[in-house]
Amino acid sequence: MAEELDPNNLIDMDSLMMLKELLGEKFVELIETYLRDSAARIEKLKVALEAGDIETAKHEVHGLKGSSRNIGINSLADTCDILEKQTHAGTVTNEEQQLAAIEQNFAAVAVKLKTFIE
Amino acid sequence: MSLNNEPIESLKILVADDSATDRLILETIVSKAGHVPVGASDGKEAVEAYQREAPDLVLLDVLMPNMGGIEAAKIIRELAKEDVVPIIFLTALNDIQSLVECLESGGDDFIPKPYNQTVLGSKIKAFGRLRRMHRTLLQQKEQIEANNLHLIQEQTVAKQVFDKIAHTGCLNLGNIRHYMSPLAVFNGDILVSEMSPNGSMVVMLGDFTGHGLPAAIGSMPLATTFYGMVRKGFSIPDILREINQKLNEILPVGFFCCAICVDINFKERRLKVWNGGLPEGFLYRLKDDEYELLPSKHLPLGVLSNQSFNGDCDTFQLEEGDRMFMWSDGAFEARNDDGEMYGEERLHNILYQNKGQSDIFDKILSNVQQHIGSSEKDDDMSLVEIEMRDVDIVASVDHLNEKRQGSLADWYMNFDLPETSLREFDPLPLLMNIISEVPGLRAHRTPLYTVLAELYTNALEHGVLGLSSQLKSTPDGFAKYYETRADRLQSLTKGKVSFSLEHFADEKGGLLVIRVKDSGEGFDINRKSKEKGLDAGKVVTIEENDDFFGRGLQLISNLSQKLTLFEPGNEVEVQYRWDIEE
Repeated sequence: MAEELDPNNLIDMDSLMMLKELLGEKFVELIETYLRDSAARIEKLKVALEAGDIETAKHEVHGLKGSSRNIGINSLADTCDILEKQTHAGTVTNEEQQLAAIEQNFAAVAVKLKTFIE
Repeated sequence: MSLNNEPIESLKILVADDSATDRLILETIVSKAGHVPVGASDGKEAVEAYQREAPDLVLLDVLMPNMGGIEAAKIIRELAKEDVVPIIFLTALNDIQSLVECLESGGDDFIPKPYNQTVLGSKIKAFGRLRRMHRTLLQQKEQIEANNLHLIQEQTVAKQVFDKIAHTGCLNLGNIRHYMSPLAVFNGDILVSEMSPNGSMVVMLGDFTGHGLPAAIGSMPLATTFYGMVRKGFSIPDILREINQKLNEILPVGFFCCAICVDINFKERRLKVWNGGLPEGFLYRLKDDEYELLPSKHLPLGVLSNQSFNGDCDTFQLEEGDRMFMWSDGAFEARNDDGEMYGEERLHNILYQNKGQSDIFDKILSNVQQHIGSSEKDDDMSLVEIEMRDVDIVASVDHLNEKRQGSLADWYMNFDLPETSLREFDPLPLLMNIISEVPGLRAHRTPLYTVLAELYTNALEHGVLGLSSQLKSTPDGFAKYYETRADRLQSLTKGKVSFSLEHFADEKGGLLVIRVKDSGEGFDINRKSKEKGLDAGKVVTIEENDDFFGRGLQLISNLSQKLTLFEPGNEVEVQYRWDIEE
């Protein structure tokens, strides 16, 4: 169920530029932290889903959604939101596909974000 | 307070979020707004950071590992106690149930993710203001509590000082009963009493206008003046005049003291009353079984200037068993729970219904208190009863007979009064004042006053003014005598009375030698001595109980150890011996 990703819609550039202005030289730290933190969350999410640990999955996907939304990465946040809602309901369907969509989305975002810090 | 121009106060803000990026953004926003961020990555760390850093404001993510924001908020609330520490939840949650839970767990507000710099900045500002206001409130509350405590301490001290000044005296004599409510002192009521050296008991009940400190403050000069002057033998008019002047000078316009002042001489069974503005006193006459009223005839103390002040008293002859009642109007104004006053009528009814009974005082008291019931707020009444019966006056004066350092022991003084002073001045209080400086002599003030008064009267009236005491033998002559006395005193152009007092102290006590000489012609000592069958001589000494020259010298002779008359009869010497353990 992987959707086609429009590279231009991956990131809300207005939000990101506002953050760049706010953080100044710490912007690089923000991006690096986001990439590291999100990669770790996705890894934990993957393990949790495989183990059927809905609670941990809920927590990680919620965190990923929140920090993505905060820096304007809305498409990933939306994708996370669908999964989070299912974890709240207690039953997750198509977890592999959803996880793949999240990983794919994140990979695309990471490519794009790295262009800002090089 | 202007919201726009408020000073930027740097707050310490705890930022707890498990997402490192969110924390970074939040910390940056906080720093840029001029505050100091303290980071924590979960609820446990947040509680620890709170205890360690005591931040002014807490930003808590709801969902965090180890301990969630809601639980952390509850713990922080516990720890903060009275202190207001605003807690703002950070949440990507958007269902109403979650938001309600945030607030109910002790949160003050929430901020949705993604963060908006402006919104967050304003919220921090608003909560900083709230916290500042609460701090001010707490400080003010503490200040008020401290002030209140201070005030109570001050009142306690003031009460102690006041009790020392106002409640010495002779209120403990068996024939006085008095009641003053605990509130009375700071409601401006005062009751003072003291024995005068001439054997009179002087009692004064006063009621200052107003309440609280302004009302109480006037009682200090009143009490000190009262005690000082009564002990020295001043008369009521002199004492009232002095108090009136003091109060007139120190109290603001509209503040004054309603007062009733009585002087009871138990030996002579004579009552003098001055009432200025207090309710009428009641004098119970045992023989007639009736009351005589002692209404107010003067303006209260402190109203008039001393030129217009009138200290004249009414005089009554008393008999054993006569009783006098006086009270301040606090007794009438005592209110019950419904605000109804006790009133003058109820009090008068008790007086008349229980006429002649010995427990009237208790009946009035219990009746007023019954009326007040539980309300107590208006209980500021003062009530006094004095009974005419023989009391041991010397015993009451004895308490003044304390040993003092630096007191007079051996001394000598001459004191001359020329005609100008003889017309206006009463030298006795001044002389008594000096004599009272010898501690052992204080207890002898009554006989010494009598001796001095007799000597002075003889010197002035018979010596200087040349009046004959034979005039006084008939009631008509008595009036004539005083008329002539006043006339001659006014037209006196030349005359003098000289006192010389000498005191020798020894281990057993002391000897006071009093000599009084007048400018008169004297009298024929020899003739009188011959009539008495004594040898004529230049000096006549009366050492025993001779029935000599009329009552005056007889009395002096009885009170002293030795009385000597000098030629030509215008000079008398009295030796007064006193012992310590007498």
